[in-house]
Amino acid sequence: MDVDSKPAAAAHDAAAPDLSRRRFVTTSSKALYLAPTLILLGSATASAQFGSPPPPPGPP
Amino acid sequence: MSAPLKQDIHAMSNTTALHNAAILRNPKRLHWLHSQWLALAALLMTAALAPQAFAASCTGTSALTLTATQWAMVGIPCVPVGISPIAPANVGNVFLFSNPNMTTANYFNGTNAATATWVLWKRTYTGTGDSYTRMAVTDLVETGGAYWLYTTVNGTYRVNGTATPTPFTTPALAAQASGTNRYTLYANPYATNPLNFSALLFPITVPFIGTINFSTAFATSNPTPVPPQSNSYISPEVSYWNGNTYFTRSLTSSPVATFVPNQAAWIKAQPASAAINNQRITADRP
Repeated sequence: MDVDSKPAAAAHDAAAPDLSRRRFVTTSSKALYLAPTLILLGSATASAQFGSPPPPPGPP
Repeated sequence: MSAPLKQDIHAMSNTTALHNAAILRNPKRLHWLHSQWLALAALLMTAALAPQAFAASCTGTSALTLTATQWAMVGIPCVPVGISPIAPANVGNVFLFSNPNMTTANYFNGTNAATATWVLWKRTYTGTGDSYTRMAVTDLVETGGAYWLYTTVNGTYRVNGTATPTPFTTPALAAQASGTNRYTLYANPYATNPLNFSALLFPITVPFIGTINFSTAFATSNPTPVPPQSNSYISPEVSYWNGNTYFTRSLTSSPVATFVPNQAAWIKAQPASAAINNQRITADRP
């Protein structure tokens, strides 16, 4: 879809489904993997802070 | 009920005196009296000594301030005691005494990152590539042990325990020729402040090349421990962690390198120090 096709797309807005953020998250198939991914990323960040301490100083 | 008359009190006093005299004349009762006195004396001695045995010297050290979400290099400056004299001196019991936020339930076990608030790592010296190992909450904490501690909450760190016998020698540590093996995480094993870097003794193995029958080379060693200023194998610099980065102090420049109770710092072997291997660092109580 290029820029010229936008008016045509706008003509269908009335019939298009509500694409608000809330509805998108709850109805989109992307939510099937988006939410678990965010949870995993969050837990990975929390876990990383307890990870290995700073290395010894200076070059080996 | 009326108050006792003066003569009644006098009569009771006489009765008590007669009773005591009867006890003293009877050998069996006298023996019983002695046993009672001995039991009372033992009880009083236990009460007097117990607080000292439990509180001991470590509680007299300055507590280390812990800043939330920062690492700290901590040490054990005594023979550690758990939350009670009969509790094993493991990570959970020793550090819970130090800080009420450091509970066993809040210790990071690898899977409870959402609720964990603290974790302890130690340096593992393999001789072929030293690395860190996360300690389990049931692992024992050792006298003179040096650890990395991470907390998500502000607090203080100070250990409970009894005075470390002097001299104290560490287990075999690092300080080898190359790679990350050159670094040893060392902590003051005493509650005494400070322990100077120059007071540590290293059993340097000094190579000596000679000949047998004019042809065979051999080597011998000098196992007598020597301080860092008397050998060229230990770096004169000690590295400390300020919560965000390292800074160094040396043997000679003021302020000189020291080891403060409850804290740890890095000792480094010089590059190509073939004479350094599995160091056991000895120190007398300052």
